[in-house]
Amino acid sequence: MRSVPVVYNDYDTFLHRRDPRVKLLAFAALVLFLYVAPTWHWMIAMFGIGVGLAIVARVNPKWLLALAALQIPNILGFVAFPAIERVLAGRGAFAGDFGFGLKLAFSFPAALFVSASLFTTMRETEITDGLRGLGVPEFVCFTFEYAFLLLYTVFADILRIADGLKLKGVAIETRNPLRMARNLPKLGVPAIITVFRRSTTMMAVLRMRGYPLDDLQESRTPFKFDFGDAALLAFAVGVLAVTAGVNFGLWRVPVLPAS
Amino acid sequence: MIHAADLRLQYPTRSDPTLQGVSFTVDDGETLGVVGAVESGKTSLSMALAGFAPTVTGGTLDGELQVAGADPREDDDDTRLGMVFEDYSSQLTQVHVVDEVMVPLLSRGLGREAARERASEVLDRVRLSGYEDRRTWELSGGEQQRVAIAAALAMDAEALVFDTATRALDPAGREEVSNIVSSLRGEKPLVLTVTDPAELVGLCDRVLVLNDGEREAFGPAEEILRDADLLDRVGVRPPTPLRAARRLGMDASPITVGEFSNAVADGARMSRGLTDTGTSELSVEGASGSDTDLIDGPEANEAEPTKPAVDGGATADGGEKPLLSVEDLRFSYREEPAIDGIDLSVEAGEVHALVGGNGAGKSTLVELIVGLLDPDEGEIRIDGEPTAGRTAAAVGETVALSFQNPDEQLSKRTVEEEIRFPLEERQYDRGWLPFGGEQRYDDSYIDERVEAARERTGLGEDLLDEDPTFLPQGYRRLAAIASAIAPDPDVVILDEPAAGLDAEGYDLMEEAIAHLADDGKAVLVIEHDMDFVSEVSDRVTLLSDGTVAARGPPSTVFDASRWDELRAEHIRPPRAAELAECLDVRALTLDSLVDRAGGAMEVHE
Repeated sequence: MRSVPVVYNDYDTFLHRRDPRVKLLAFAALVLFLYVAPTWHWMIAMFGIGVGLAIVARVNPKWLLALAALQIPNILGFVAFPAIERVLAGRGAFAGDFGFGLKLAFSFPAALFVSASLFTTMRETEITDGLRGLGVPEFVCFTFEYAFLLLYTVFADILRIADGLKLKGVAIETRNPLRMARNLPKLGVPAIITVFRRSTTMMAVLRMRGYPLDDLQESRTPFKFDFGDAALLAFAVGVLAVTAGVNFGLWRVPVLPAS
Repeated sequence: MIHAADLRLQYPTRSDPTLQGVSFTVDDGETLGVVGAVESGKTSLSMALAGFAPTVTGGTLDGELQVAGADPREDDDDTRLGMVFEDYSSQLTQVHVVDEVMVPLLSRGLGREAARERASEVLDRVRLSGYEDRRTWELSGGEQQRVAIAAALAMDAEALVFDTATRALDPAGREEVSNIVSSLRGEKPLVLTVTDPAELVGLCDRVLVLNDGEREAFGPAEEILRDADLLDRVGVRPPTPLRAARRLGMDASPITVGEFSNAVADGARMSRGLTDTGTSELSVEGASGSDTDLIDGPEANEAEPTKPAVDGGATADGGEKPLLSVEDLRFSYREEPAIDGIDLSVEAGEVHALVGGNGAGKSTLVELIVGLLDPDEGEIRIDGEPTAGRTAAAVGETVALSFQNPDEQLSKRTVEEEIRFPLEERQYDRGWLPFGGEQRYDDSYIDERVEAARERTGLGEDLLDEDPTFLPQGYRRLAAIASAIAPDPDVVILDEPAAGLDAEGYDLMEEAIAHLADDGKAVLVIEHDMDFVSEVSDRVTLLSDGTVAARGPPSTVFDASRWDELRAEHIRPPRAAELAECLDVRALTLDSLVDRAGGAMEVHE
């Protein structure tokens, strides 16, 4: 049986012990940071914070490096496109400002490392309980948890379907990425059929078992907001506040430029 | 109580009604068995009782229907009837096991602490104590089905329906579920739908027989299950003891081995079954093969002839190199040995069965052979060529694999497209680039191979334009097999080909396997049904804990001296063999039982 990789990393670290509501708020702060960060230097700083959090959360470094490597084409693209544009306009490739491209390029790995550090320390049920604790409507919370469940259960089916396609001669091995990229869409139709078939039964079963989709469910996760949570929240909000302040010209920070 | 009168169900996508005038009653505490061939309407009936048809499925449902005092079509309370579906994994709606069971408890108003406590009690009842925090998708099929049963029990519904709930499970899983169902008898109305009536023996009070959506019969289980003509008429195999008694001309109608034994002991009259010599003979079946592992027992004095192979007259005794050869194979999952030094060889024209309990290593061995996994040590050769370093796509051209669930392999809109697919994928010899390449064969070759594969599997020409996902289970499986053998592989591996088939499907599958062997393929069959194994295979390998526990002709591996060992692995010996013991003869199939039983009983012309 193929084992399905899950997002959650089972350790006991400072981040694992934090209240899920705080970690979700920290993630929200990250998202806002990506919009208000003044320059690409700030993105690199956030990337550094992300690396630190990933070490604390004991995220698998191979997994992170693999995901980071996938960002390399992004980074090159964001830098290359403005350069190509300038060349076509008759100017030198490097005669111009790469700031915006670099900011966009480095936002990806920054977001990746920070969000991986936060989400790999929360069980699936903790994430949805955290959302409930923040007052997110039950329908959204249920959909989120249901999507996780569907993802994992269907993923196991998809691995099996992929095995079947390989035996039929469809090259989906990673040793040839080009052919793999060409052939992956062939998983699409059987995967969609599997999802549809499974989700119909799942919804019927939920109705049968009396699952109330409208009422707010009681949390399965015992919430506790302690000093560590306060510290993490203060750090996240503080970073966001400082960044926004610099962006809107309220203050300056040594080392990191304002524009 | 459940009451249905003149029930008629019409799906919007079908021209004929799925249920036509079905009537029956299940009293409080009674258990109703529903039996019929595949596509006879069993699941549709279950869905109607649970209120899913037509609410979820669409269509119209006419006639009277009352479940625990309410009509499901008008009832707002969806929890009145609990249903356990055949597809165990589709019933998982929560991430963790305990949450799956707690949902119905919480919806009944229990507090979280009380619900958790009650959920643990219910999980203990289905022997899943300690599984509370496990992720639902990581459990085995049998375990997932037990979680579904636990959730249904937690609903405290007025009635329960088990819709072919054991069809997709292995023998251990089936046994576990059957035990749970047995423990529920008398508590509330139960409805069990099955394809194999043997699963209802001792479990139900009354039986409803469906045939093409109509009620063929309804009455006491004792009468219905003993009516072989009725069961044959609707395309369902009667219990083996009953078939044996009929063929032996016994005037008893036993439905269990125990009843058969009692009938023999009571001197039931028998009118057929003479041997050629007219005397009683003890004989061992199929005593052939170079690597027999004979146990002490009666000597063979009438062996069945070994099936001749096709190529060069080689037999299962050896003489030519095997088409499939596995040498000293080892493989570990996360440092736990899963395959620990296995040797295996399958000759051209041979049907070789691979049997064993849960965790024996059957599936892992198959995945290694077809190249989905790489062994840690050892070698696998197909027609003398090692598979090491080859992709699964490359190995798949010489080794065909048909999954237990054909739906995992069907991805095209028509049967013909499905069969053509592996040939079209390999039509060009592409290098590193995903386009271009040299053509290996033209479209006329593909057409020929499609026709050959269709013929070999017994699929009618009229099925080629059908959508395989809408075909009955047996035909879907044959379509998957046809697709797998289209490239003309040397080795064909069939994973549980007989699982969930009705009488027609069973016969089609036996024929297809015989054709494959006649074509000179090396056929490897993984099965839990030892009756089927006895019917089709030349040799059997019994795996246990990743090693070979026994190997030889079926007569050797299924010798009575091994039955305790087999049962410990949740492998039931062939039923014909158990019946033969009652007659003090040796046989593994019904045919050989009838042939050899003459003289063992009083014979009347």
